[in-house]
Amino acid sequence: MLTITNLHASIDGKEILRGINLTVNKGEIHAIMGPNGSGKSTLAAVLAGREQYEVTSGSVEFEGKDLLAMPPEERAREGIFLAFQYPVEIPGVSNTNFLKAAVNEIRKHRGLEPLEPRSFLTMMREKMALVEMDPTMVSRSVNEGFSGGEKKRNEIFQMAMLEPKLAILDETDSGLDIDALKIVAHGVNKLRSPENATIVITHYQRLLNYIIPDVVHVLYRGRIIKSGGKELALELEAKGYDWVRDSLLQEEGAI
Amino acid sequence: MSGVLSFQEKLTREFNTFEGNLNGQAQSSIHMLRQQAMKRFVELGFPTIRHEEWRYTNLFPVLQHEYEIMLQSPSQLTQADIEPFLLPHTDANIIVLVNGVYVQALSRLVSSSDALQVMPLAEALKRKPMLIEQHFARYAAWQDDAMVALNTAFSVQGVYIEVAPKAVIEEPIHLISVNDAQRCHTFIPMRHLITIGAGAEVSIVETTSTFCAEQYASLTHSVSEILLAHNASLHLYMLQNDREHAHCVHNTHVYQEAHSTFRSIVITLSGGLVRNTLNTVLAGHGADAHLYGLYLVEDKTLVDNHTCVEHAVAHCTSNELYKGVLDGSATGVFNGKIIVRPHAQKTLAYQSNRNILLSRAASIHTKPQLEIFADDVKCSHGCTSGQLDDEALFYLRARGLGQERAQALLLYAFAGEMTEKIDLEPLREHVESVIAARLHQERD
Repeated sequence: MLTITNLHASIDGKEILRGINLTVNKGEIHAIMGPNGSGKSTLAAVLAGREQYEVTSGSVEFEGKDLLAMPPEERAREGIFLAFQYPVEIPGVSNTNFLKAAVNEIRKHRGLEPLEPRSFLTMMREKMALVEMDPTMVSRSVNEGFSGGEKKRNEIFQMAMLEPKLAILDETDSGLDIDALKIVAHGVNKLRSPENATIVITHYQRLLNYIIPDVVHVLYRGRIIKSGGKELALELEAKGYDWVRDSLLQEEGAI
Repeated sequence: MSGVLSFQEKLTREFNTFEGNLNGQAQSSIHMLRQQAMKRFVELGFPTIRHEEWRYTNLFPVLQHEYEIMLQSPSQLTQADIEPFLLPHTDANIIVLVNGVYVQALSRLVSSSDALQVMPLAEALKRKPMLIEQHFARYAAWQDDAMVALNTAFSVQGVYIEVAPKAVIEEPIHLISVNDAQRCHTFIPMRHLITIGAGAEVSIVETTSTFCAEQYASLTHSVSEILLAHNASLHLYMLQNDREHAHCVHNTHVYQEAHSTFRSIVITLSGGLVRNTLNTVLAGHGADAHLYGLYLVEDKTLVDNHTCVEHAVAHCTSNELYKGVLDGSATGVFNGKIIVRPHAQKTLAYQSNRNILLSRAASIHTKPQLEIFADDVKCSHGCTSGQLDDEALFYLRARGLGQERAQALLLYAFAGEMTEKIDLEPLREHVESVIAARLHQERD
């Protein structure tokens, strides 16, 4: 589904991603872990099409198409979804109107008619239940005055509404208490299917108790320095990021 | 420059002709006032950009045209011509002015005459001489303001509106000014006097629309003086959505007695040069004023809002918020003056002006001006000018909304903060639909 090859990206002339290689197949959940400043959020931003980042070399192929050539909205329409680490507050734009516009843009792209208001409402109710969201929140402005947990829940709710092929969860666990974390994870697991894939970006292992990854990658200074199964996350949690770095240095020294 | 001088000369000639036709009334006190004002206008001349209050609004290009001065010359319009300007589904008191002249045949008052009286200003001044002593030219000072002086000199058309004490008028008053510039450049002076009696409540909607041929310009020049007596309440809406050659210089001078409430919303969506001077004097304890404005303009429209809130006594509140979106090569000017007089303790005065510039050629000149002479007051002001929030734009695009759609949604929300303050539902719906259509057009 997604093939990232030797991806380099920088912001303000400073290189953050320094040769990422990653392949994600349908039905898989990948976790990307790493210390602060390793480039996790940059990777998410580059995949979603944030324009501040400059891709200096490498390629990203999504479902056979050149992802980097597309503006952000087209990536979303093709099925990429980024759950923001810091969801943006947009005063004056109601959640409902915003989602209706988004859902219908994506449907249009897939050659489908806009949803009837009735079916849209039914769909909203159904997906809200999935993340146990207070129904009054959809009539409010997008994220305005939401607590940290409500914002994250709203991201997963949007994801449920937009039914992406590839969801990228950028530090969705940060700022969540354990109950909210469970609800968010439950939502993600419910949406899982053999047809879609998820990249979970996180600093801590905690979320991965609830969203079980197929593959865990360690990102360090803009490169994936180690990949493994779900046990890798536990090992990281126990031994810290220095352990991976040191073992990598040892390996390099050995060569 | 020469065009301006010849216009000024033409105004002087026209004034003399007008005077000659007055016969016996040339000695009346109202006319002596006009004479003084005319003399003052000639001394001052039209304001140039060297005048601080006109620094960013250059009237001179607009004054170059060879205007016909419309005095008591309403053109023949029918009910059908007026129809498009009416608010749908609204039982309103309709006051129609054609080229500044109150046309009774096209107007319709639905409120009882005990509560509401409307008549041509000239007739009111004749029938009620005390108006001149008490109100007329008392709130709009002409001595140092050339435009007010000129308007005072030509104060022969426009209306007098009187709302009786304690009258609560359910149906809004819709003041529709229709200008006819189909055959020549037209200059239309208008003068209104509105007195709202103690404890009375009313809403007034003012719209100006111009029929104009492509090659002709119009210049509407109005001064409205409004008295809000003790405990009175006025919601004033001004909706400006006129042609690109339709220019206007509006002056609204409000005087508020104790515990009165004034709330204004000035909405400018298109036009040529649009200058709105809006001043209110909080002259009695416990009076409050809420001044709101929204301008959403493009092309070469220039919109200038000059406001002045004068806290003359203690315990008054004022709150002001103007928001603007400027596209194309539009220019915005906001000048917000707050004066707090020495005895006006416990004043609360807030002011904010927020602008979004959508193109490089658009510009905004914003200036808060606080003159505070009392020490126990709370005043704040702020202004912002910038582009749309990039973070919000990206967030919307990351959900599949195209750049233009996302931008339109954000602009609609930005404007929405002002439109939701419109209490008159048909007016709010109308304004919202015009804004939505505008943003939609940009999208396609």
